[in-house]
Amino acid sequence: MNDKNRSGQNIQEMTSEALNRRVEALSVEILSELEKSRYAALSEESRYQNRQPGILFLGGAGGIIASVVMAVMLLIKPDNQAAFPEVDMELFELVAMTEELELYEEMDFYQWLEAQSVARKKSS
Amino acid sequence: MDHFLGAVERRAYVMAEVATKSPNDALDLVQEAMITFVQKYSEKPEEEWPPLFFRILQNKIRDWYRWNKVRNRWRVWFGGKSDRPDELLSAESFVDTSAKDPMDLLSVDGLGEILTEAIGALPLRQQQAFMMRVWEGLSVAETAKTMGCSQGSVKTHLSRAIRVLREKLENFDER
Repeated sequence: MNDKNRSGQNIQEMTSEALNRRVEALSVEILSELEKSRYAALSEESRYQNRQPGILFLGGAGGIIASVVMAVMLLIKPDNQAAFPEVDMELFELVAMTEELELYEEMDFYQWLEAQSVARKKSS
Repeated sequence: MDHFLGAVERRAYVMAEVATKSPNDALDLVQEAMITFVQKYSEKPEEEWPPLFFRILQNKIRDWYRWNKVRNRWRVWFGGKSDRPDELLSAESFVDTSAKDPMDLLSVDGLGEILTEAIGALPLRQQQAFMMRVWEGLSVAETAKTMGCSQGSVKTHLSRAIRVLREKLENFDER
């Protein structure tokens, strides 16, 4: 048992060291790409924080996108032409539901985060 | 935020690259994870950032696996070839087999490659449990939340991953 535990611990250490070496050996090209990704994310953060208030909320971002698409298609569709395909209502609902599904899937994680915050406040 | 992302980006990339075996896909996944993270959680307390970020990253890796699984099935059905990741590469192409003690092989770069490939060959859940719990050092509770499973499942996945890695190392030693 002791040998197995020691062997198991060694495997973890060896593998962690191998992964650490892999990190240290990343090429200049990869590091450059990662830096670009980071800056892209940070610019996204500032853009997101500077968004204009007063946007009409229709049940989440998916609902907003789906509604806008629907509105544009209905507004620009000429009466005398059948060039535009019929709106697939199932697809429309699926897009609108996407954000809600993610929220439900992540609900237990948000609850755990909240519990962690409360615990920290109590201990401080 | 800049400091945090700068600190995690390399490890996140290695996680994604080991999982996908594709540098380009790994870069895409890391960028997507970063963008999603700053959009959703930049206002959260900093101590919550690590499990939040790695949860997003692991979810995107999981989605990548699912998407590739579906894509490969379509390819097989239409007579094409699957893009399944290669199996563990042969040890003989990397390592000096005259060394008998596995611990001696720490000085050989090939062992690191063998172990990294072995992690990449693990089932995704075992791989995630190992990366989060062992390499990132998250607690069992944090790992469970990152993976979206119970703490018992984390321990199960981790023990199986370690057993598989140990068996691969022992098999290599017997060559």
